[in-house]
Amino acid sequence: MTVTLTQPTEEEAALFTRELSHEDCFAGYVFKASGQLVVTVYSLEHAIAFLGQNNTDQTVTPGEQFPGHDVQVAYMQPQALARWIREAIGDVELADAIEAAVAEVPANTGYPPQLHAMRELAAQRLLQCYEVLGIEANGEDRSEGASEQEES
Amino acid sequence: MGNGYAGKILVVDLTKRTTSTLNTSDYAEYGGGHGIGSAVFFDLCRDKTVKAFDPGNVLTVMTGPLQGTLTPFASGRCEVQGIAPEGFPVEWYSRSGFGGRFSGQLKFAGWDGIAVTGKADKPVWIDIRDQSVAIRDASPSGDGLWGLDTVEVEKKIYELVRKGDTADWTDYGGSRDSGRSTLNPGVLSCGPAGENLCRAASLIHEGGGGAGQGGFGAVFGSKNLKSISVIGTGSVEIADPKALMGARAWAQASWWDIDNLKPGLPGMYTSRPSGAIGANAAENVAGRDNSCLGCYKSCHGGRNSRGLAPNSSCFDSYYNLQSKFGIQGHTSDNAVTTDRLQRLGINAWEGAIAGPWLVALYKKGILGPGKQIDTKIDFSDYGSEAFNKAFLEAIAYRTDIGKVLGEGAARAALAWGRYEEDTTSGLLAICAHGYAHHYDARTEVEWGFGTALDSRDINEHDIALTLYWYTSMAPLFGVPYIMPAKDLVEMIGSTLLPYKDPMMLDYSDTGIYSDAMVKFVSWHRHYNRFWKQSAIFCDWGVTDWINPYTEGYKGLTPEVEPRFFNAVTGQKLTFEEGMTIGKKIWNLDRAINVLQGRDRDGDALDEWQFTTGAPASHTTYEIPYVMPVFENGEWSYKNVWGRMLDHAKFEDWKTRFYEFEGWDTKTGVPTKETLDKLGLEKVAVELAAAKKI
Amino acid sequence: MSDNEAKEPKQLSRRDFVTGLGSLGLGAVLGGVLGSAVLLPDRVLAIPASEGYILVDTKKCIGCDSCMLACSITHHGSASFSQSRIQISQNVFEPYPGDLTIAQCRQCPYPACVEACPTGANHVDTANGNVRTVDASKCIGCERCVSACPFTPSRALWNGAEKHAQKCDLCANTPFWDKKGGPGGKQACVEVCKMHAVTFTSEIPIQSDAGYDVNLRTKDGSAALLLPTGDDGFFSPGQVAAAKAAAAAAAAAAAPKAGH
Repeated sequence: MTVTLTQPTEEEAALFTRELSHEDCFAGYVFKASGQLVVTVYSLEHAIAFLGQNNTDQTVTPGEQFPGHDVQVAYMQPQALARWIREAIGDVELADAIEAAVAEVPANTGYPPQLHAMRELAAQRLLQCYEVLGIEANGEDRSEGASEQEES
Repeated sequence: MGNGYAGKILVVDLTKRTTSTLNTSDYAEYGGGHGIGSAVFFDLCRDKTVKAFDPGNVLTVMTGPLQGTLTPFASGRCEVQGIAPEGFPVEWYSRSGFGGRFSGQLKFAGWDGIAVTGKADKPVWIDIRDQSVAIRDASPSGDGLWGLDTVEVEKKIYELVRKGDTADWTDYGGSRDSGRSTLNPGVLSCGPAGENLCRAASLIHEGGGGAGQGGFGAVFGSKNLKSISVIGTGSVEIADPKALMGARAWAQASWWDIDNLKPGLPGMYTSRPSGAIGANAAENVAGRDNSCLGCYKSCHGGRNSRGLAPNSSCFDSYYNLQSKFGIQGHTSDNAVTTDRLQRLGINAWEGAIAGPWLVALYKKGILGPGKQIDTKIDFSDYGSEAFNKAFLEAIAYRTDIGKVLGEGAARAALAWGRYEEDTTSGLLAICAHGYAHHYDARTEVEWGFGTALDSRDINEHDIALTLYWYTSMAPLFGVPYIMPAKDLVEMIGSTLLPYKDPMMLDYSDTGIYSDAMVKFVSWHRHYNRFWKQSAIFCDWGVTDWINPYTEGYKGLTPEVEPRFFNAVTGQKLTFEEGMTIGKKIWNLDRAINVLQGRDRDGDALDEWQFTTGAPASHTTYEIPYVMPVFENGEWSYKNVWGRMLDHAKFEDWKTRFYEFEGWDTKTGVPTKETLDKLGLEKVAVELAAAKKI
Repeated sequence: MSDNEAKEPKQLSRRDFVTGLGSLGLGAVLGGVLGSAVLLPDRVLAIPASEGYILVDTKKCIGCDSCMLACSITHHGSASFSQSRIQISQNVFEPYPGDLTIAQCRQCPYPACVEACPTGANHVDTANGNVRTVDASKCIGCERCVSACPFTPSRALWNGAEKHAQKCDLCANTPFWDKKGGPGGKQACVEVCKMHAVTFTSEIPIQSDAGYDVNLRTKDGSAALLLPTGDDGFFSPGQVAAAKAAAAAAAAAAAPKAGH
């Protein structure tokens, strides 16, 4: 599976998880049959959330040419993402790992396996950082209004 | 013999509180839908230079002969047109469309369409029950509709019209033969955004079918019109019912069958129905998919077990993509956000372009509490439910940042002194005329050039689905192409009647400015004006150019359009004759825009499309935008991403386009000769009177 | 309930039967007495069972109303909601699955509409698979059949334009269609339904208060299309379990969200 990244120091963890300025932001592209949209991301966490908007696991059966019109591709070019992680975020190891992992994805298998490789590694790093910084990564709903909405 | 038309158009004068009738036959030469809508607008709107919110603006809600029949992609559609508040810097006369069951009810009530003029002195709603039309009091002291969101108002109208008798046959008219129905009325409403004159306010039917672009919800609001409700117990006669049933069986056989699923193609509207937003097995949130009237494509959203965002799909759920929480996680519930957007009646595209732009301004320290763009809304929390609620309500109720943002992103940017800078860099991704970037003007030029020449984001997916989406997604999924580029452009090219020229599909750097592209953009405007916006075949049904389920993937276009049209109307219209009607409607619309002040300068695209090859905002990498190109004497699929448009080349292309269309090559105004030849003599007279020709 | 032996028929009054208010409920009326007689207080009535029935799955229906349009077009040559002999009622704001109901004629084994008709206009058409149908030429417009139908909305309906009652005849009489209809042929509503939410069966369905609303999603492509396949319209336990397992696997690579 994916390589195990080195546990970051506290200083590195703070650096890797910080919110970036507009000048240092990155962007992804969402492809949906109804349109295409740019989404700007300002942190590693946001980039991971963006990649999570990809739904090809639910709508595409590999090898069966059976994708539906509801397919939503969250596109970030892997090499560009790696470059941003290296230069803007400053996480050289993660950048290198992503490039290596994507290079191992068999040719002609398309983007989704590349996306998974990028996202898994990035998420691994984020979890490491939270652990080091003592932040609880519990997937808890942090939106104030959501639970009220669901009850109504 | 029946011909699919109901025969009459209802005219409602809200100022005088009177109704009158037009004969559809006087306008049938325009086909139906938008064509008739524009022709009626031309006659009823004396002064085409009035502002969108002026009582003199005429809003038409129009169907055609195919609506309410079994014609797939067409039966459930409806067109709305008028002077559109969203247009920038001029409120260009424009159109929008919506689907559902409204058009069937309208036809069976005996009306092909409705024209609304004037302005009521207080909030009203129009209650149509077959041939009986009442203008009712929507104010809080009346039926209490004004102020409700689009869901609550429609539910209330169901109660008012059916008087609680919701399970059985409801009697309309009081006599044995006067008509009964088991159904709820078709209702079209503005939400609070429209009431408060937001320029990007939508009109909503069934909670999700929306005429989103153009801001026609605010035209309703400006007229003190909350809703139009219609129940129709009558019928529409079909010229050749057996031929219609045969056509339906033929078309349906070219689609998937739930008992026999077949592989689709990447990115094409294929097997998986659109789905109910938020439905997912893990949480056992279930739902059904939904279709517009008479159509089997089921791309009209769905309805879920949470009762949220019914009939919403596609871009309605797109608004929240900028969310830092992602839309698939708990912390940003897309169904809740979409539901709120639809209830408030806001065009989702506005949020889509405003999102990244406003977040960027926040990040740059320009927007925030006490900043140059002052807001109490916490933009660091962008995408949370609390944020979405505050943000959308601010726009709908014109509070906080919504006071300015409710004017639309373009006018807000202007008010904040940021328009030129942000639309040159691309931070604010407006394509043209104040409308959001949708498909890329630099790569897919029929979209960009068409939009520039037209009055709004054209939103016509013919090329987008086949020669961008399919051709880009196939390699993205590692799936080989169904055929080489040469074969594909020849297959599609053969449908481009009357030209049948595959060179029209050359998206190379030279191809996009070629005479062949002039021909193609012209073809595209005419095809859409008639076959899609007037016969009203849905944009997600036709063109059917690549069909995953037929022999050799050959699509149903150009057979499907005239086949159904003629079965219903009894006419023998050819595809090409339909194109000629499309050219007529296109020129009529152009003339209206000219009367509003359109000329060559107005046929423009926002500057970032000429200055940068990157997406709007901050990416510099290559994304897949694979299209067919003819280079070095052969066809291939090529990623054309990264190019930008060239002003000089675009202006030269426009000149050749004007010439091809029979317009003045300097100004882009249709000539008298062109208008007369199209049977638009009275249009030429009005242009001459306004010194435009 | 499939016992073919003639059981001792329950003593129902005609009124009880017609209004379905017997203590047994309408569903218990047959109890395995197929196509034969039920003893009524006044006389024995022999009504041959229809050779065709429309089964529906309201959970699968996409609400396109194509069935309604096909019904009116094939029977009358014109498109109409009100003249359709199958009615799809939608209240889009109710949560699924309560947002849509399908009202199709059941071709009742003991048709109250036929019973109620004073002229025999509403009759059992033995030449067409015993379909229960209205001969418009004999209809006097009393609308007793409309009132008699025990279901809401009434499946016998009044055609105010042509001034006669009408009801589903399984397309036995569709002058505006070139397909052969009736229980031995095709039904327009079935033909135009791409979801196969409206289907035809020649087997008499189990009579129950739930009607002929059945689960048609377990053997078709619904599961492949990620549609819920449970009887109640929700995801089946198997679908839920599989989805949760997939989500758990994905959670390992999911975006962790920082708590406060």
